[in-house]
Amino acid sequence: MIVRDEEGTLSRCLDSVKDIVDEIIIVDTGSVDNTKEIAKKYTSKIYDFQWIDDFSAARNYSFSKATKDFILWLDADDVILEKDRIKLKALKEKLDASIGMVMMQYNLGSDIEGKPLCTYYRERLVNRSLNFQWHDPVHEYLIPAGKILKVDIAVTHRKEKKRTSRNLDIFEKWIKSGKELSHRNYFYYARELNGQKKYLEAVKYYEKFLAQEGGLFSNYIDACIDLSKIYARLVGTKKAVRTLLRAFEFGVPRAEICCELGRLYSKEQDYERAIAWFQVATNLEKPKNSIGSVIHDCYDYFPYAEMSICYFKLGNIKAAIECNEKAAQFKPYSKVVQNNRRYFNSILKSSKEILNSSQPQA
Amino acid sequence: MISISLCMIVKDEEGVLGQCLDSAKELVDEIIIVDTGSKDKTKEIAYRYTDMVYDFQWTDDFSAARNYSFSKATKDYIMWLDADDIILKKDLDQLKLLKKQLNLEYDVIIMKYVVQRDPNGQETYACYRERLVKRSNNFKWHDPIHEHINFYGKVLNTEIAITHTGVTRNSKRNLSILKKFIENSNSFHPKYLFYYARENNALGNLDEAIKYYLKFLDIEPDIYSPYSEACIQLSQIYKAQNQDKLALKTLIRSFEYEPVRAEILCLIGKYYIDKKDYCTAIYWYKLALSIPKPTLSWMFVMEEYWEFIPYIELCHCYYHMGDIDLALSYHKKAAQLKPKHPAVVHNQKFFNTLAKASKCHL
Repeated sequence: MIVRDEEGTLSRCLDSVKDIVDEIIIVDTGSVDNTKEIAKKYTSKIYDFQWIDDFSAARNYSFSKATKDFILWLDADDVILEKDRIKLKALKEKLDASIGMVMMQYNLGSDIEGKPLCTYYRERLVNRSLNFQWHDPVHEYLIPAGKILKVDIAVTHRKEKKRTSRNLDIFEKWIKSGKELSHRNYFYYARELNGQKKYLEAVKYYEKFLAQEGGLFSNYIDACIDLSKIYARLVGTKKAVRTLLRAFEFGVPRAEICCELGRLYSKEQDYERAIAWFQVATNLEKPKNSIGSVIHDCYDYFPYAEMSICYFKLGNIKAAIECNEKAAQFKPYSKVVQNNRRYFNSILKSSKEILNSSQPQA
Repeated sequence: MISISLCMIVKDEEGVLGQCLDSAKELVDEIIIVDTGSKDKTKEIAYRYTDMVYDFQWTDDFSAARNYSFSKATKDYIMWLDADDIILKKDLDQLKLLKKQLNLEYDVIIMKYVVQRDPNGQETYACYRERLVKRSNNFKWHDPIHEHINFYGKVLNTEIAITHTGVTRNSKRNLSILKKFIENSNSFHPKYLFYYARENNALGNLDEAIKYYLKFLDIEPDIYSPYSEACIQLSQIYKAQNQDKLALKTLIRSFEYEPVRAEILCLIGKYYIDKKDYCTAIYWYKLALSIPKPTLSWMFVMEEYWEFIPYIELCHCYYHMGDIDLALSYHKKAAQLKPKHPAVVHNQKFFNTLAKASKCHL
């Protein structure tokens, strides 16, 4: 692991994994809090590494200290939940040296019942003998090698720290020093610019990323969604719609895109178009075997909840109730669903009362 | 029961007029034929069915001729047909029933117009048109070509079909009328740009066709704009010119204005089949199957794309992905719809040989 000022999360992470792994290596890149003291409770293999604005350099240093058959990497704000711990232990028992790389699910965010909101797969456990190296200063990655095994074991991300401009600063230093950004880094750089509200610069790099083929499918999807939100704000709905539609040029139709289209039209009060796109979202199959990110709610809960509002705005209470109940099937505990149910029922009740009172009396 | 005048305009229709009038004569109470300059036996044939045969000098204006034919009608309602249309038995029965039940309450009766059927008589291309109108409303035809009635009042939508049998289109004549119209009229519906592009396309003037398709697509459409049709035709030109990506973008462009249509989804699926990306193609065809077919749409509907074509192509995709069972199940669905379709027959033979071969192995 590489760490810096992680006193808030490090022990949560290490507690969830300490009995599964055979050694723990912590590389500290300049903590000024109690991170190293906490780390000492778990391991003696703690190293200092001077931060040089390069995540790959730090991670490669941490890998260089490893001595066991496989290397697992985690961030301090990751945690392995109990059901995944059980599966990971089982995997460890049967894993053999023929495997080069194990891909595991990465879960981001969770709903009220603990279901992950967004999931994708990452290279997580690698065979040390293949000498894997990290690439790129931020959003670093390992180039796949050897036999790849994809498993349904998840690492769960539980971010506690606020977003900073750290990544953006790294990119900017990188560019200033005259180094070229790779195609995939156009996307990550654009995201950081977007996160720091530097929209015009972000547009430039999103467009550069989209103009070139060969990137990760899910990055194209995310780029179209991010960029369309910027365009909706700066240019107008039409440009935003066109940008979302570009996502369809890269492969399978995705509900994440359809939901965004629905939301754009809903905002424009074009509820019929909005409903059409939300309907398509519910018709789509969730991508199987996708390595890239999937926002699960876009395939059921979101579009039904949104359609319910659209039907309500169109004055079709019956359809609004039906859609709300569909949404409830997927998230029975959702506050939104419960409030809307109460609200729709109160409307029905009062309209019935009006109907009854206006009936001619015998 | 109401009475009906059949009003037709004809020119050199000796080959088809008889079958048209035979199919309609039992339904209508008078037949009015306006001849715009036949040199063949059209008028002689017409006189076998009616005395109300009139000459009208052709002025490159379909509406003028049709309005003249309407002016001769004396019954409660007016029906219009082209000489190469016919009414099939089942539709005639429905029409007779409708005639019995109609009173003067309705101003316009909409019927299906089936432009194309497959060899088994199943619809492959259809749209809806104003077909029967109340005479007292004095409805007028508008525009010199692709003329239409600007109707109002109470509308009855039906699924009764008029079937078009003609195959030849007089593109050269249409092109010259359209050209004159576009150049001389200062207010025409943008769809005439589309018609002009289409005739140029049919005559092989591809540069002119592309130019006018694009002109048409750049104008904000309304419900009478054949937006998806234009996207399909333009994308087919691009495809023939080996500009695959541009063809794909043009198909996707249709989503800017029209709801997701199966025709477009299947053609996008085909793009991925051509790229041998069967896995992606499957998602597009399945989406096509999940969309309900619009009824009473003013736009064309190419029937096969809503069920038959997705089945055939899914069979194709799953076969290439090595899933013979799923391939066979989609073949069976296609066979149920159109057992004699050449693609079905071909696939049936193939699956038969496959079954025999696997028995040999046993």
